[in-house]
Amino acid sequence: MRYLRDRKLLELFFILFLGLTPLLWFKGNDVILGHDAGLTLLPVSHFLDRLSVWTERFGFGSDQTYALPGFFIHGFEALVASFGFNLQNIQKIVFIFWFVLPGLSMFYLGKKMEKELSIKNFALPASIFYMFNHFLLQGWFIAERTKFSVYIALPLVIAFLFDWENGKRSIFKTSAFIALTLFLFNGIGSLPLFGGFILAILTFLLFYFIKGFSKERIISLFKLIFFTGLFSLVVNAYWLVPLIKFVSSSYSSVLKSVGGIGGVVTWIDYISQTTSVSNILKLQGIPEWYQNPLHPYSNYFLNNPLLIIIASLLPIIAFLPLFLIKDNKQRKYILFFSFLALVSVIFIAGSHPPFGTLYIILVNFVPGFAAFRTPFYKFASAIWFSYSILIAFTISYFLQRIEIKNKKVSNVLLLIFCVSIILYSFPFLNGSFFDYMKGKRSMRVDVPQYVFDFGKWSQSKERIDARTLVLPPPDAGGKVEVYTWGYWSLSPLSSLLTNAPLLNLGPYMSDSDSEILTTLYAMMKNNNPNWKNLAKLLGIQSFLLRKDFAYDYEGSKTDNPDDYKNALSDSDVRLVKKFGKWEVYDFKDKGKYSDKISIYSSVSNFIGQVKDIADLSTSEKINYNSPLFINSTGEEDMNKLINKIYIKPECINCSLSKTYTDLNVFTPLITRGSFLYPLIQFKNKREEKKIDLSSLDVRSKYYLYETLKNVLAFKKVVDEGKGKDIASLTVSDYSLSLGKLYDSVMKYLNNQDKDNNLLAEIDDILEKEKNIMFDVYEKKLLLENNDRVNEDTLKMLDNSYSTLKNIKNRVDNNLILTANENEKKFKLYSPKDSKYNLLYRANDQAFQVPEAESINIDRNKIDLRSKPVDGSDWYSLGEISLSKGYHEIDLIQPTVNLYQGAKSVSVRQSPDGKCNALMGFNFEKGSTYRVSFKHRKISGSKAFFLRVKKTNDTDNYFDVSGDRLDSYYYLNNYVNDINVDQSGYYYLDICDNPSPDTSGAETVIEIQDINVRKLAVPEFLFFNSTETIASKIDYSYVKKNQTRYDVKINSSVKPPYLIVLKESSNPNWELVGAENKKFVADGSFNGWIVHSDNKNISIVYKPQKLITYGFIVSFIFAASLITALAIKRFKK
Amino acid sequence: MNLIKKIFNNFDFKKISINKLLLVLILHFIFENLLNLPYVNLLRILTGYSVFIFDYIIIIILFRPRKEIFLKSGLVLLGLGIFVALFKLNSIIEIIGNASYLLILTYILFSLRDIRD
Repeated sequence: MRYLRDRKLLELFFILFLGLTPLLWFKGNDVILGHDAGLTLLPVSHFLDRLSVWTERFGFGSDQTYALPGFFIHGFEALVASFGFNLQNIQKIVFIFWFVLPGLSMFYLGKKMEKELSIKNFALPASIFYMFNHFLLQGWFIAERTKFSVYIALPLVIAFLFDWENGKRSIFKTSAFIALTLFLFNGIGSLPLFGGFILAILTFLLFYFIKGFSKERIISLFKLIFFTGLFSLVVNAYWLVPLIKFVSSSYSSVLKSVGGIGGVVTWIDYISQTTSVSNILKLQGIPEWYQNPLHPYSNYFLNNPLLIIIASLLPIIAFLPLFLIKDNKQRKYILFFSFLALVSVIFIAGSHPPFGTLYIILVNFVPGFAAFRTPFYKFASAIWFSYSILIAFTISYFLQRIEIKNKKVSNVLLLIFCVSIILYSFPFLNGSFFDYMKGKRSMRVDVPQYVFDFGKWSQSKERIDARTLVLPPPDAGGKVEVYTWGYWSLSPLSSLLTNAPLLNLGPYMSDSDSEILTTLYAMMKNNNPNWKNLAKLLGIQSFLLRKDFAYDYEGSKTDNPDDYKNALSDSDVRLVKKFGKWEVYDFKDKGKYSDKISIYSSVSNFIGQVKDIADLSTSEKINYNSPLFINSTGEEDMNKLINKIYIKPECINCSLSKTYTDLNVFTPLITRGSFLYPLIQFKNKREEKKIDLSSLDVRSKYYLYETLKNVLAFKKVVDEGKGKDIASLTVSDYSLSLGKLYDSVMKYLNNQDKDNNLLAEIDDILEKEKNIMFDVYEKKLLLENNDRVNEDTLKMLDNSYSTLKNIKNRVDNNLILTANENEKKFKLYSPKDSKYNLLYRANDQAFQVPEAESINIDRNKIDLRSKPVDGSDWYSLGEISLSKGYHEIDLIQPTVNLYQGAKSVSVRQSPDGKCNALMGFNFEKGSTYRVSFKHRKISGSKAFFLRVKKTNDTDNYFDVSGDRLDSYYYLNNYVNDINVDQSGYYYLDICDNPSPDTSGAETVIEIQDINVRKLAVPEFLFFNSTETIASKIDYSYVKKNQTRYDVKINSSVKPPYLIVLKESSNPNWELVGAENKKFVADGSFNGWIVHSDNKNISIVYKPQKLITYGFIVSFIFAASLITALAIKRFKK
Repeated sequence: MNLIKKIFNNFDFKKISINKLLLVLILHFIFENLLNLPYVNLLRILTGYSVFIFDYIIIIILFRPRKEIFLKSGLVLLGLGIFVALFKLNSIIEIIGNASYLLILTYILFSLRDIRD
């Protein structure tokens, strides 16, 4: 009873009781899984895997330094799991923990403030509002523990800072407390998650200086910052040092992956559409509420009048203390939190007016600010934090006045306020927020038992190292994993289920790895017998067929699991085990290919691109006695070991794709005539100095884009009518830059090793410049007949045009580029004088390969006999000799018209909106098809469209997609290229839309000369016919863990020789114990040339050692800090 | 520049409030046009409300209203916002939100001196 009378304890119990809310969220056997939650099915092994910086859970292995800071989040889950609870109970306990902690941390701050300000009824409502609100509700749908982590730390750190400022805690203690808080609640070290936290700290600093600006205060603050920084750095050393290294090297690639700054700005615009000031002040504007039409609860808050009124009252309640409370001490806090709330609005709003431009400027010009690419979710914690305190001030103010008259009424009202706060976030009470697309997708799933069974089995000693390909792959576009039992996520289920190396196409994979795997999937699907070669090259020994994969899920359609049945029925493959709807197949022979470590005495040189490795396996049996080394063009070390050469010539622009250059990007903002122009000149001169002018390709590229900028500047000057003199100066700039381009290009063309891509780029940009010049001339100087340029300028322009033509002609003479559909151009490099076997495939099923092929190599005609290669679509063309160096191939491969119908077709308007199918075609994935015909309207005035439709697409009369066929009595040409991203049957439909018919006559359109053909990308493969026999090396190896392998060479071996680790290539993998040089083997793996004959060698993932030391330092220091604080407390 | 200074120095702002209003109107007109000039118009990119923000600053300088007025007006506007929100007049809600934000922020900025120890 004594405890019940203690108000503080009672309030604490109430918060703890509310912390049990997550128990209301689970139904039946459901667990929370999928989307971005990262909740795992096996917490203990998942946690243990995260202690290593190298994981085999993704692709061919990957660095997971980024996962280290999740030590406590996943460690806690593992700790709970280690007590033997089932997954649902583990999640219940974990969720209660994360649900109650924000309340407790706010309770700590609230109680401090209550004491400091001598107020009552403050901490409880603040804590409940901090626990139950829409910001957390949105985070809880994916149980965003990382976000909660920073959210929990925020009130604690602010409380420590207030105490320090009020002289209640020393600098040492404050620094230690903050460091320990950030040790436990580190937001997995993700800077963007600290957006709101940073705003709160900056506001504290601002207020600190406003309160008093003296030397002592500055010194005191610097001491605090220094010790906090130092302590935080040491206690978080285990992840901070490697992560800084990791982020500094990956920031630019991550930025590139989201489309660069431009992509970030576009995304911010999208996410900030609803973040108006009024919405944010009402604690709304959460992007998901408006963008997701199937949002489980937003509809209520946006449409229910009562909820609209409550939302509109929130800012009034929050800012009312500014008006009501006159006590100076309280006002300092109120002003602090009000200011924080209002400042945070600027950031939360992102690019939304009225502050949007400021945010975009920060993204563009403040290094690293682009990390805050989802402003709302990153900064909003600050406003919810402020509102919790401010609303609690209002409640406390009124209740204190009522309490003077009647304490009971005051208590009842407090309870009512608290319950109202909870009810306002009512989705917390039934967990409906987990059903994030109402009726379609939910985080609550009942995981079939066989999934768990497979997970356990795959981690057994016999299976843990078996590289297993998961079938079918996710959809190529989104790479989404969807199961019939409800799982939906970008994270492969396998990565949450087991630490075994399950290979799956995921968004984390490099492009070349993805392309190789995509080829393997395609080969298996088509049961191309050579798929086994490629699988073995990649070290794959097992296959998991998931028959519960939702392959026909809308928006992420992929292959039917049954498509792989034929390949898996191969005599070399056997069914090992069945787990419900999951089947595991293995290769019958477990040969050397499945070893993680292989040792070779020779290497095969592959001249081509990594993605083309897949083509090797389609042509002939790969030489497993040696790994592939890509593009050796003369490395002395490697040349000694090469015993076979493969060359895959590049078909230059065979699909005739056009490059797109956004000219707006290159149009100068400031041109001659502006008072700011000298600044631009200064900037340009500095840039010119910075570039490496000794490198001819860099130099040519630099001047190329200078000419483009200058010609666009001329266009702008003429468009704006800036005057004859300025136009003349601008043309002079252009002429000057063209001259420099001419010099550097001419020198570059004298080079032996010319980059064909650069030549193509120069050709393309100069063509664009030519068009810009013509456009200016035609539109401004000729048609408008005005006096914007003088005669001298026109002469200068003419000279510039001559220089441009000159450069272009010279470039064209050296450029290898496919110019039309039938004549294909290839480029190849032969690393030495040699005789090669030549293979060829047309990659066009409709094209009949003639018996005798006429091919030009270096413009010399060569007659070769075609002979089909058994079991593949390749043709052997016999032997050919190539000298060392670059060569050019010209191939004539005519296109074949796939259209078999009448030469001329008349299509009439359809009364019921049905389209008229011209014909159906079987299109292959990844190919380009060109459609061309002539058309003319014979009668009527309705509009016709050409629409490419898949078999199962239904007609929609109001569909406006497709190409409009505008013609009237005379014949018009129609040409269009179709890029096919999914194999299947496609129809060319002529459709009429509900356009008005003014003539009253029936509309008829005539279609003539229909031609549908594949723009094939034919392939050649050269391999030299002689091969030296490789000597065998006897070795054994032990996998100590996923970051260390110990190798023992048993036989005497004469160096140099090669060691390959079949894990994704990463510079951090090191060979220790022998003199070596690293290279990339098989396009993806780690390889070393070993120069000394040491018998014991280790292969280690270097950062793991750093992390081990980091763990020791962090935990010893954290323990020391805790001990020091405890001793101080004890003494006190 | 000197001429502008001279006008400002000799103008009796406190005495004639009609003059203040007139000045506000004139300055509004000047800013409106000033912000259309090349390069100066970059300021417009920052916020579409730049002319009104200039007006707002001029009004504060000339009329020196008590800071409580900003807070009260801000809160009253938020109160009005409830009715506008019920009728879902989104463009008006947005203007009310921006205006009340500016008013409350002004009050807080003017109150910051209160927190000095």
